[in-house]
Amino acid sequence: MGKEKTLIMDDFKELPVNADRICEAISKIGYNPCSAILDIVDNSIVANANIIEIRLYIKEGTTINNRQNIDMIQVIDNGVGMNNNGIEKALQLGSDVPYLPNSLSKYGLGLKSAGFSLGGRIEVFSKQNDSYSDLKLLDRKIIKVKNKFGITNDVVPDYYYNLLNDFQSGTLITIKDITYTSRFSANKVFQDILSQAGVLYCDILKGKNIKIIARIFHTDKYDIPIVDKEIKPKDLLFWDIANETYEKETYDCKKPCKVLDESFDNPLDPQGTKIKIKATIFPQDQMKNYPYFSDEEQELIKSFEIGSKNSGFFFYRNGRLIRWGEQIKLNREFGFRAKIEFTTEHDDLFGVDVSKQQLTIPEDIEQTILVLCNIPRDQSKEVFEICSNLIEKSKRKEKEGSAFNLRNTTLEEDDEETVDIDKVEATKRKEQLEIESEQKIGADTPKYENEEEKDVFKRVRYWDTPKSMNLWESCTDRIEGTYVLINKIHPFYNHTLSKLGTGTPERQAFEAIFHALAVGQIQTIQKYQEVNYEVAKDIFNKFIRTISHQLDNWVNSNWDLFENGD
Amino acid sequence: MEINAFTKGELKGAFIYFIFAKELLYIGETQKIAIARWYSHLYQNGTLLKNIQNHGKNPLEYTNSLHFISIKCNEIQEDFPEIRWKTITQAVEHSIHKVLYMSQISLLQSYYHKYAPDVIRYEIISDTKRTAPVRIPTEEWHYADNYAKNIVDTLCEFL
Repeated sequence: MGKEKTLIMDDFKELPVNADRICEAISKIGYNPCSAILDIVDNSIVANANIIEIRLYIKEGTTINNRQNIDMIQVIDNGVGMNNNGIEKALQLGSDVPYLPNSLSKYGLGLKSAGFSLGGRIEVFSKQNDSYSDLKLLDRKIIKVKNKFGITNDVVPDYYYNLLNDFQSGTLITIKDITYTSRFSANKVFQDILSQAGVLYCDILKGKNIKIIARIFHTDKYDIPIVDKEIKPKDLLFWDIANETYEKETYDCKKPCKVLDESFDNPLDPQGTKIKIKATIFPQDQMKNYPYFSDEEQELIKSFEIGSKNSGFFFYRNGRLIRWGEQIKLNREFGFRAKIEFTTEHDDLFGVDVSKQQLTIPEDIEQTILVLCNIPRDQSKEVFEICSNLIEKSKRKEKEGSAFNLRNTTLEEDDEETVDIDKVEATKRKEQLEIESEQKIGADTPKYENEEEKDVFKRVRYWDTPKSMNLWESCTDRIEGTYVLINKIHPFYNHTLSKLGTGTPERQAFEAIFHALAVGQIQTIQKYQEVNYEVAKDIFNKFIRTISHQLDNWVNSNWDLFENGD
Repeated sequence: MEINAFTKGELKGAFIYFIFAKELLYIGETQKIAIARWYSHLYQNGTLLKNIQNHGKNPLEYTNSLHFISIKCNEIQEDFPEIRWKTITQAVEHSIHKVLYMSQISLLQSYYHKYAPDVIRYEIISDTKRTAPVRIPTEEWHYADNYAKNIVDTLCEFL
C-alpha cells in the first residue's frame, strides 16, 4: 500500500512505424477542403500574423467552376516566421512547440493532417527578420519510398520570394498534388471559405484587427487574381445590433433580440474560468419580403440568413468557431442561435479532437445548456408566431372590409318604432338618398364582394377617392340597404385603422361602428320627418365633419401611439 | 432532544423549497405551506422518490437522509396580485434551477460543507420543463432571475 509502481523500461523495444499509413490516417480525421485550409490559417493566427492570404490556383484550361480544377493551394502570412530549425519542428508529427495560453493550436498535428488531407506534398518556406529559410517539404511519395517520416529540401521557385517580399517576417505554406476525395471546384472551396471564415474568426478578426483575403489565380499567373475577396467578421448572433431584450408586446419583427447572456462553471474545475453562453432570437426569414418594411429593413433581415443552417449552438474555442450549429434537442427552432465560448482549459471537458472541429458535450453541460435555454427557445417560437400573424394580416390587407361583409351577409337594420310615419314621404326620401349615394360612388361601382355570385353585399367599403375630408359617408342601396364608405385619405385610417390589420376582430369592431353610424343616419333622415330632408342632411353633415375634424386633431397629438406599443 | 422543524405564519402563500438527499437536490414550489407538499413527496409515487429512481438511484438509500428547507416568498405576494403568485413562483423556481446549474460553489460551500462534506458535486433531480411558465413578459423573468439569486444568497447565508 502506498508504494508507487516504477515503470520498468529496460526491455523496451521500438516497433516499426508505417510512415505512409500514419500520414494517410492523420489526413482522414474529418476535414473538408475548407476546414483544412482554415486549420492552416489557424497557424498563421497563432504566429501573430495580421495579414493572411489564401490562394487557390486553378489548372490550365479550366474555369473556376470546373470540378477538380485546383492545382495548388497556398497560405501566406506576415507572422513571426521560422528559421530552418523552426520549420523542421513545425513539420514533426506532434510538433514539439510550446503554445501560448489559449492558442488555437493543440496537438501539433494541424499542418500535417490538414495539409495531407488537401494534397500529397506540403511545402514550407519562411522568412524571419528578412532572412529566408530553405524550402522544406513533406512529400507522401518520398515518405512511401523511404517508409520513414521525414522532410526534404527543394529549390525555392523565384516567385516564392516575391510572395514574402513585402513582409519582414512571414511564412508561405504550399500544398501540391491535390487529393480529391470529392469533386469540389476552386469556386466551391472559395465560397465555403467566404461564408465560413468570417464566422469562424469573427472575434479574432474584430479583436486583433487581422485581415484575411481569399483569392483564385490561374496556375501560371501568381500575381493576377481572377477572384479576390476580403473576409469580413460576421457575428451570427448579430449581438451589436440586437434589441437588448425581447419584449413581445412591442416586438416589430425587424431585428434579433438578446435572450441570454450568462456564464457557468466548468464542472471539472469550478473555481476556474467560466464557460460563457449568449443567445439571440431572430424573426422569420420571410420578413425579408414583408411589403410594409422599408428596403433597408428588408435588406437587414436578409443579412441575418435565418434558417436551419444558421440555427443552433455555436461553440467557440479561444475565439475560433469549432462547432457550427449543434442542435442539442432543438426542434425546428430556426430563429434560435446560441454562442458558447470556452478556452483551452476546457478542452478536456469538451473532448476537443485533433481537427478541432469535433467536440463531445458532456451530459451535465448539456443539461445546464438546456435549462438556461428553455425559456429563450420558447421565446424564439413565439417570435416566429408573431411574424406569422403579421404576414397573415398583410395577406388579408388587399380585401379591406371583406371579413366584416362575409360575416354579416344577413345583418338586419333595426329601427326603433316610429309612430305616424308618412310612408310616401319615407319612400321619397329613401329614393333621394339612393340617388345621392350612387352619385357619390358612381353607378358602376361593384357592390358585391363577388359580382357574379352577388351573395355578399359590401356593407363596408374603403374609399380612395373621397370628395370631402369626412371620415365616413353613409349610403344606401335600393335592394340591400345601408352601406358605409370609409375614407382612406383621412389620417385616422392611416394612423389607427390600418394598424389594426385587415379582418382582425378589432378592425371589424370599428367597421361595425361605422356601419351602425351609417344605418342611424340613413334611417333618421328617412323617418324623422319632423325635420326637413335637407336640414336633416345638413345636421348629419355637420355632425360627421365635426367628428372627422376632432379625430384628425387626436391623431395629430398621438402619432407615436402605436409606435410605442402603448 | 432536538428541534428539527419550525414553521409559523399563513398556510397559503408562495413557497420555494429545497429537499437535500445526500448528493441529490430537489427544488420545488408550492402555494401552500411547504410541509403539506413535502408529505406528498414521500409517497411511493411522489415526484421526489420517482425522480431519485429516474436518476438511477435507489430511493431507499436516500429516504433516511432527507433535509427539507422552505422559503416563504413574501415579496412575490407583495409585488403581484394573488392571481399571479403561482406563475411568478414557478418562474422563480425555474430561475433557481438556472442559478444552481450555472454554479454549484455557493451551495457546496454552505449547505454541503456543513451537512454533507463528502459531496463534491450535487445533482439536481427536479426539472421545470413542464412547469416553467411560458409567454410571460420579459420583465417578469428579470424579476424572477433577481429573486432567485436573492433566495440562493439568503439560503446560503442562513445555512
